[in-house]
Amino acid sequence: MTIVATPILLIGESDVGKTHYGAQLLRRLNLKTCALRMDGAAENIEPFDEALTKISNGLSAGHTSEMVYTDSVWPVAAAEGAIGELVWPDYGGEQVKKLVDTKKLPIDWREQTMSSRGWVVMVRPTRTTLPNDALTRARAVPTVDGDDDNLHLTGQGRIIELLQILIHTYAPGGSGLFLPPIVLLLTCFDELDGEISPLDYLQNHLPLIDSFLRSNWPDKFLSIFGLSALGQALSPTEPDEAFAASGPENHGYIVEGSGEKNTDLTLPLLRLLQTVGG
Amino acid sequence: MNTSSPPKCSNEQCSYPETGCDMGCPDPDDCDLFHSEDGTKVSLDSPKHSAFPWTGRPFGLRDAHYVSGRRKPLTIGVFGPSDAGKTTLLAMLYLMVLHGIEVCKGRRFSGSYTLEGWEQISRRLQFKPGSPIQYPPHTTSQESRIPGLLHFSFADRGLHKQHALFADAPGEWFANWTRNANGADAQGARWIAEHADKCLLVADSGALTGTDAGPARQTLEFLVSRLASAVNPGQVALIWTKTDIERSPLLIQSVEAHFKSRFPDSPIFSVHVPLKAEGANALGNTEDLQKVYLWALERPIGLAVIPKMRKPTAEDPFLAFRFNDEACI
Repeated sequence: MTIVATPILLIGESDVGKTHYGAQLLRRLNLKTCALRMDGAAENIEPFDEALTKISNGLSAGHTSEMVYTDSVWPVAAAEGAIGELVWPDYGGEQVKKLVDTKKLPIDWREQTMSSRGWVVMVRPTRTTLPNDALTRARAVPTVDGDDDNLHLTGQGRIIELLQILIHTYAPGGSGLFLPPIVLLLTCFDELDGEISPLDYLQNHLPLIDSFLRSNWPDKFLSIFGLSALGQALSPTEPDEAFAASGPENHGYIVEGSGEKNTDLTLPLLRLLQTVGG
Repeated sequence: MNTSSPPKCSNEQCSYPETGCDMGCPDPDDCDLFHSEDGTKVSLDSPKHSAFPWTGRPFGLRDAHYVSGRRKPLTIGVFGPSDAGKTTLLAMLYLMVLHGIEVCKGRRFSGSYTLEGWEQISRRLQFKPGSPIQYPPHTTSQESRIPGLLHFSFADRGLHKQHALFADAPGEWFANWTRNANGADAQGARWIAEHADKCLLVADSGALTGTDAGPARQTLEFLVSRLASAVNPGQVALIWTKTDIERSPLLIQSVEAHFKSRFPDSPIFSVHVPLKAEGANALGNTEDLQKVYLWALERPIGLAVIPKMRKPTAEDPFLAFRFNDEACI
């Protein structure tokens, strides 16, 4: 069976947990206990070295520097045989903020986008809340004239602008039928109160992103998961002894769109690879 | 800052700051043309970045081509005097879309290339801790030929997109247009009347019941007449705004009767910013606002003319064998 390189375009702002997920994925793939497993050895695990050590010690990983954009090539296989080579990047999330603010896509980002075969978007719900506005609260006062020049898009707007930039780069003027399959991960899902399924959360709390994804990607090319890469919050300075003792491989879970929990962190990628393959 | 006139770009095609930069620069400080007094050309050295055909600010005529290339976008103009609630009407549309409320029948939000423009007009309707909600300020009247156009696209389940452009123009433009349809200062309003597929004519409950109610009614009546002479009747709707202000039945009756005399089959809507009840959990009631946009975003049924195909005759040497049924077999 031919092994197809499947570069993943990982899209996420600062602090959504890109590095934590990368490190946990790498470990899970290596242990070969999940649906997707490493078939051989990863070419280069350097980008996740520090994070792997930190997490093993029960600490949260540090912030990835803005200047960094590296990727790591992982030959992966599923139960039914070799599927492909995952190219998983890691970078400082400020790059994403900057490209939305300036509407300038650095050339290396452009190349990553054009060669990608699957997109993974990471959104942290607790950092992307709907603003309080005239529809959600009760009091209004008359107009006061004045400049309001400091324009910054709100959470959902930034994600959409970012996706529009990437869509335009990948398929100028094209429709969603030509776009690579996409997985939306609602990260740090353990931060949300109560039992809510990712699909319901998206519809009720991030309706703009929900509509945008559904009206640009056909259903079979779109998957939605909740993700808690570590299963809990870790401090950067105070090690969590219990977490370290039981091992990071026993922590973290994904939540299927409909709400079923699963400890197999590789499922979103398996879904993506299966869609890419066909 | 407010009193001095805004800097003007040396590029005549560019209407920044009313619209986005013609060269696609989100920040005009980065634009070579914006700075050069003598019209220095933009450097075409190999770029380190890709630029995009939209800036996030309202579209001008040239960048609107990005969405109008395939099919004319549905264009919606909001007509009315200053301070009548035109911008608030548009800002409420953005808030409805932001909260996932259906505004285009059978279609979902599928993108916007003027997100910053939408955020700018709706910002004041958003709550910042410590300060109450305010209404958007007066849209400034600048010497521009066309209004800033705000963009949305909506897609159906088959991912077919419909683009819509909303013209947010200052009330002075319509006042000028009402006074003299061909005046130089009425150019912007004429553009909207000419290009709008749907016209939302705003009747301001505040002004029509205020201290200058008489002149306000007269202005509205003349605007109705001007509109009637410029657009098709099926395109127009009357929107009463600020209807949380009490209006006498006589006022409602006379304004609507005059409107109906010019636009007998056109709908009339009544809206206000739906402040939710204190303590209630649900969103404010947007049903009335929703009706306005469901109507406005309905594509007008156009008259399509399909030319009758003339069956080529065998005498045409070029088509001698092509269309002659007998010859083909």
